[in-house]
Amino acid sequence: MARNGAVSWRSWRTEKIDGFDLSPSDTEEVHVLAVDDSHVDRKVIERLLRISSCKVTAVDSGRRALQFLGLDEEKGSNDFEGLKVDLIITDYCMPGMTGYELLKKIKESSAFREIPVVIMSSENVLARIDRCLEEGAEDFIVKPVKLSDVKRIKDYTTREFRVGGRGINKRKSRESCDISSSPPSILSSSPISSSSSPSSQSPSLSPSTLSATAPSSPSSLDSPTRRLKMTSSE
Amino acid sequence: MDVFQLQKQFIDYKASLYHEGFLDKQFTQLQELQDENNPDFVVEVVSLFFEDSERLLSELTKALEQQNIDFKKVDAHVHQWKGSSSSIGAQRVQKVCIAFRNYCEQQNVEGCLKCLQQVKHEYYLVKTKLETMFQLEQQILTAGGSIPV
Repeated sequence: MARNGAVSWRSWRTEKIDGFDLSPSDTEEVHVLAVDDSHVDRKVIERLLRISSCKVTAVDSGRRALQFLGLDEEKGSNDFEGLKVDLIITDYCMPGMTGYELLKKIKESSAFREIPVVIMSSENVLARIDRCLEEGAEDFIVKPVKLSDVKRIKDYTTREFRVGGRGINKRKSRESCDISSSPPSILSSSPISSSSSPSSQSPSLSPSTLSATAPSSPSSLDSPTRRLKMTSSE
Repeated sequence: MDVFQLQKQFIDYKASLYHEGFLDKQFTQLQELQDENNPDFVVEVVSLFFEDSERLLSELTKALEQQNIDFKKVDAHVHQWKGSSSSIGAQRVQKVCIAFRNYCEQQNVEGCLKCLQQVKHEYYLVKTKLETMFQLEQQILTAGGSIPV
């Protein structure tokens, strides 16, 4: 995958790690850390990512994920175990540390809070989705994961996306269609207040409108509840 | 049987699995992930599913034999099975798991035992069907043909 302006892009990528020498080939491919306790799901997500030209490291627990990142408290130092991680995709329901707990630990870490985290879950529970997005997850994928899901989340690792701000909400539920294909719909007057009943119809803005807003600070979400209301859900 | 007949048999068999609800579109997705560089991907994933399922079936049987059933534990196992069956597109197994979880929530022993039998039945059914399908694929390849998509 060719990238224009490769030199400046690469230096943006490498300057985050002190003394970590990344060869050009390492910076070209997106490196995803996949976390799932299910062997079947790990195999599937690994294949989905590889077919999407990503490097994959698949681990079976939140604990191992933190170890890989060098965040495990018991290990002491923050040594970098391996390649720079560009994206973390984790299952929600796992024994020991849940995906939500892993998400929190990553967002609490100064070294890794910038890494986009995507949550996967077999359960389409609104409260769960909300909680994850509010904690800083980029997206929430309802299992089973498909190729179109992976193609979409890969966008979170591009520089253009990160510089331009978070932009549109990409929360996905089983029923909702892909955001880019859904037309903007404006709610005229509704008796249902927007602060209650999350399943009620809410206004959604087209992607171009939202990306025109000023870039938000990378570590905080722009009014998460407002973003959540922007989903078009049927 | 010549290649053409084998291929026809395979196509019909596979179609019936979808038609009868044994497989859903997630299985199709898995097949789309297979290519000449990863020709055994589907068989490998399905094999993992079989391994997982045998383990879960054994755990569930044990858990439901206890004097004081730990429904949380039972539910955890069923949740896993629901997940893996969903990931490979084993729709009928997944559906039983959903009903199973409801009984766990209600702490309904009768319901759980019934579902255990059902999930076991559906699992062995889909296992046999998938193995038959893989065998048909092998026969086509052995006869020098290619597997129709």
